[in-house]
Amino acid sequence: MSRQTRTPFGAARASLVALLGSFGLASGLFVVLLALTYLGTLDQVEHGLLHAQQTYFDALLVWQPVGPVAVPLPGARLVLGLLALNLLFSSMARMDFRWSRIGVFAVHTGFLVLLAGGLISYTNAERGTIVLREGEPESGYLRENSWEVVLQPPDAAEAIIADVRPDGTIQDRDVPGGLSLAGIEPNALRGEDGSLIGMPVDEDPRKNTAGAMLVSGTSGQGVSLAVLWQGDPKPAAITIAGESWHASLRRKAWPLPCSLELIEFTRETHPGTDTPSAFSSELLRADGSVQERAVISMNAPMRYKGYTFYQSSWGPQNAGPGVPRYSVLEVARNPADRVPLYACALIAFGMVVHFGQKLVVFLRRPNAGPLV
Amino acid sequence: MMRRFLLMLVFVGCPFVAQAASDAEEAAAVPIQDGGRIKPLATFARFSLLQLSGRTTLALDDGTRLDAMAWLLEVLLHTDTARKREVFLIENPELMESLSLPHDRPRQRFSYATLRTSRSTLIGIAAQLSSERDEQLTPAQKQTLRLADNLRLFESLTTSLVPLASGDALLSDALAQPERLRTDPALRRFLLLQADSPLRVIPPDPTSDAPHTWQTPGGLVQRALAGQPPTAPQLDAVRALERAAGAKDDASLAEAFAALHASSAQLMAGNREYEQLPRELHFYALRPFYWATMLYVAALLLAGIGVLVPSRRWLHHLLLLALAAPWLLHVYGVVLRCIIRGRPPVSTLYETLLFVSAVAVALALAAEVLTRKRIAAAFGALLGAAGLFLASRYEAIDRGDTMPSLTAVLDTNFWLSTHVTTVTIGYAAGLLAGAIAHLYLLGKAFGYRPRDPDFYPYLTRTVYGVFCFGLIFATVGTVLGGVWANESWGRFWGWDPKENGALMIVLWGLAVLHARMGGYIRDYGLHMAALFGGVVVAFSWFGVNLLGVGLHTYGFTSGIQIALRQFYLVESLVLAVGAFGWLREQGIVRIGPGDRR
Repeated sequence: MSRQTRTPFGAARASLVALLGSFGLASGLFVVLLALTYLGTLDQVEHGLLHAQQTYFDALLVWQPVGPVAVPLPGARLVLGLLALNLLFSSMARMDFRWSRIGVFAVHTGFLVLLAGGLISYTNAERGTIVLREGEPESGYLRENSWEVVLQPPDAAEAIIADVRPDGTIQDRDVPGGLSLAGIEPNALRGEDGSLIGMPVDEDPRKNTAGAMLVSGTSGQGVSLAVLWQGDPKPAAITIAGESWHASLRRKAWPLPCSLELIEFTRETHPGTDTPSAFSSELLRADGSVQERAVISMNAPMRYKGYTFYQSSWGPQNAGPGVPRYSVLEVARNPADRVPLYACALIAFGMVVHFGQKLVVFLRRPNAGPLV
Repeated sequence: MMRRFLLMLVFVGCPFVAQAASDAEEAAAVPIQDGGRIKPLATFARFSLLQLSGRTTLALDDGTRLDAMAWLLEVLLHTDTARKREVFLIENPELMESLSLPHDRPRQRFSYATLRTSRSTLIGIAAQLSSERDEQLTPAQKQTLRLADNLRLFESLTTSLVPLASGDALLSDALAQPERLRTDPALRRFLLLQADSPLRVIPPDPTSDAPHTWQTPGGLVQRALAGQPPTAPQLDAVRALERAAGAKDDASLAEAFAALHASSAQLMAGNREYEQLPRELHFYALRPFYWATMLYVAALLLAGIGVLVPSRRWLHHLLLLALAAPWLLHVYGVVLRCIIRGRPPVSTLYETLLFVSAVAVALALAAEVLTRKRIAAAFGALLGAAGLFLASRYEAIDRGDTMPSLTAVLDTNFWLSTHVTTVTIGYAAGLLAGAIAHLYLLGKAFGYRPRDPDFYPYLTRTVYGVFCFGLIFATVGTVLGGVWANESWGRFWGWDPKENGALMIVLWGLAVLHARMGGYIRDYGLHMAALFGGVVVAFSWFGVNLLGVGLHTYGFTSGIQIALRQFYLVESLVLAVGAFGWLREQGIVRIGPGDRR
């Protein structure tokens, strides 16, 4: 058997692979994630969930204040990415498949599936809300930070409805010279001088009123045309190429595969109390010529053509008898919707098998060496 | 026959409470709707007295005790005597001073007669505070609101039956002839007095438009005025209440309550909640958790004695028996509660205390059967007693019904029995592992059994096994929680504090497991990690609820904050002692000639 000579590069690569797949890295990453989870939980008390999510959980890097200084920490997104790498490398390094190790294999596969599901949800899931009122069918839902600008040309022609891209530019070729939005405020108030005053963004997107500066050109650096605000009762008058147009900002309604109409929203309470015992929305679902009745209640969502509809809220909260209530549904389209359930089954199976094996060993020789 | 037997048990089960008369026995079994559910009047009395006084019995000047049912009858029928009883607990001297109440202790009970002079001041302050958010209130302000509520509850109880005591069946006659209801001034006064009565003891007519809502006599009059006359059994119930209100002796009072119960039974035949009433009476009569606590303490003492004598097989068996007996009683109590409310064992924070301690004892029993070292049994007894003691303290602080109606999102037996049960089993194992780790760390640091070659390896194996068991359940339970959140709220993970708490247990478990497999921690490290795991469990279990944010707002209890901080402090000290012991074992620190370099 010939002895292979390892090059410095090969040795460095082997060390890196060993490090990336090491127990030490896994253990360290779990501890860092635990610390981030703890800090993010405490942060919610002062700054709310959205702030904690942006600062700790959706971040690659966290600057954690410790007394007068800020200490850098890896953010949860970075840690989760490294954990996925660690899982892959450790699998390559150690997990040669044997039936006796099927438990460990299943647990790690389960966690990989869970992380992959999380990634798919993060990049592909769509979610928003829909407000249903009795007798008013709706076929679109609203997403967070998703707006459109309604432009009314001077010749009273049909209004142009243009999507606002994440970078603030407006996607439409019919406007001479192009338009874009600058300084988008997801939640704002209008000051007395007409300017926008940025407000903290609420976790419930329906409670936010967005505003932005409409500028000429597509770079966001052009001439200011108007300040648009969702709360404005009338569109703003603007001048484009010497002609008078009107523009307004509104949340974009995303299409659903069906239309939904509220038949009745029911809120039940435990007898003699104000404690709610059940919420449910009875709906009429229309898809083409097919009409069906459906009921959505707490813990019992409706799934239809890849979309899931959940009972989220209702109003008006202080409605007296006879006042019709509206129902608010959460809408989600997530290709990885069921992945956590499958991952959970794999993890549970793996853990039971693995630790079951350990237990059997222990029962056979209760006074043997350490259990690892 | 069965009902009579169970009624008898109500009082037989309370050996430290004076034997009550038969009128209280009959009244105890009368069904009432309160807090959205049907319960025995005895349960209503128990929690009303607890709410007012922080206790379920009243200490009398002659050294005897008045039980809750007898107190309630006094409030309902002999209001002058009831007003003189020192029932209203105030635990804040600032509040006593603001109400100009003479006091010599920081925690004192006052009678209604004493509080009456400060009533308008109290109600005025409470009205101002009622618009404030709970987390913005100081302890004194919270006490003020609670006292005002208690005063209103007491007053509404005192006017619930007394107006019926005219002796000439005024109300039942008027209900039979609705035209009288509009003209009779005595009835108008009665309606005014009955407006806030909590005494909903008249079952609904199953065919009515409110088939689940029970009525007070006043509510029945309101419905009659709205054109919905009472049914015959409902009229019978009103007559029975009139007889009770006007009863001159215990026998006629008992007869009146028996008649009231009989009329309820007619209307509630086949109702599941109603049929559980004898079981609930039995539950409170037996006091399974009280007796289990006592027996756990006895088992702990036995385990302590066992340490002092040489190991014997019979001692091991005796200890197993001593632990199994309270555990069976404990489990019996939990099962009874499940049957009574028709839901899984854990649906409130209070119930987690009962369940987690029961599971911890079960694990300890299993470990004891496997290892026969008497150590696991001792820790089982300790956790059983501690869990049930905390549960009784929780009940005293919260002062609410421990079998309440649940909010809409929790009203799902499937997820309560899978996610919640699984996660709490993880809590139990984490706590047991952490508890046993104390013995290793303190034992090593203080030189306990240094020459026993089996003792410390045994502790390590037990802690490791229990820790891994907990990790399985915590992991599966946490992921199941995400699946439930996905079903209810449309997202798997929302970084809600309670979700984060559960995740922290899992992350800590995984970190420890990988660190041990990688050889980064050995025995000492495992025990320190297990002990810290207990701290993480406590944070997840109670700590996150005290933060006051998140979707899991149904479990906030501010009264446990101090206890939790004390727990963190003690555990930090034990960790420090453990670290010192490790340094000593490594030869880094020397405190005596016996320490190796």
